Amino acid sequence: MIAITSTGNTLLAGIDKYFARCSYFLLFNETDGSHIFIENNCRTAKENAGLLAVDMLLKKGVRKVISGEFGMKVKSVLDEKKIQMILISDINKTINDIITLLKGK
Amino acid sequence: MPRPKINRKMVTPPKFKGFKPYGYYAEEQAPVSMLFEEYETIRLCDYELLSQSEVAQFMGVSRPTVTRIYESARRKVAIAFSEARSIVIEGGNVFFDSNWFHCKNCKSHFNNPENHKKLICPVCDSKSVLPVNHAQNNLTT
Ligand SMILES: [Zn+2]
Repeated sequence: MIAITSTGNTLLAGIDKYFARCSYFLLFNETDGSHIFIENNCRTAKENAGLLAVDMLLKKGVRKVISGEFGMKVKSVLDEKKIQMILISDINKTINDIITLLKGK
Repeated sequence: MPRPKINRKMVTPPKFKGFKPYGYYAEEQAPVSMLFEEYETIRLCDYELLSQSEVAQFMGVSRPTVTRIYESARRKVAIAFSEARSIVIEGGNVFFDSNWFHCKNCKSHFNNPENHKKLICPVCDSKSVLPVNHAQNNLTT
């Protein structure tokens, strides 16, 4: 399962630049190509938003995360849990562009 | 004998090679050269809003060293702003605590937590992946 940080809950949304405080996560299932948007409820947490988000994603079976940026604190958690980080520098790409790339494999 | 420089840790590779002023300025001048660790202290202190002690701990250097690098970085930004000069981010003594790779096909960066020997791009499956310090050859000079 791959999580992509998203600014909205449609395929036309963009990649959210921030990991911990993104609006939505898109979960992409690599086995069957299906996807689902989930709201990031951790974004409003006063602290440790990144840590809470990682925990939530781990429970969903996420092993890879795609975002525009990983903060220092969240990066160390992802390192520790051996979750692969993928940085997309072109944040003008839409969620659909990324899914197309992932499905084109 | 000069003291060997300690390598400073960076979170992720920068997504660009530099900045250019635009608009109404006299003539093109020599760019200001900013070290990777200088860029990183500005990013960690003023963007991630960490304290200088947190930054020192993360980078693996003393707090006074962070203060010195940060001061130098700020001065370079001020020179670039005031004299309308571009900034080139190059050189320095840095390493990343994860090995970062760059996909030549889809341009994404990624790390390799499972230490796979035969690495392919996790986004587009391309085999044209390069370790970041080779893609940006100034990184370790
Ligand atoms: Zn790729």
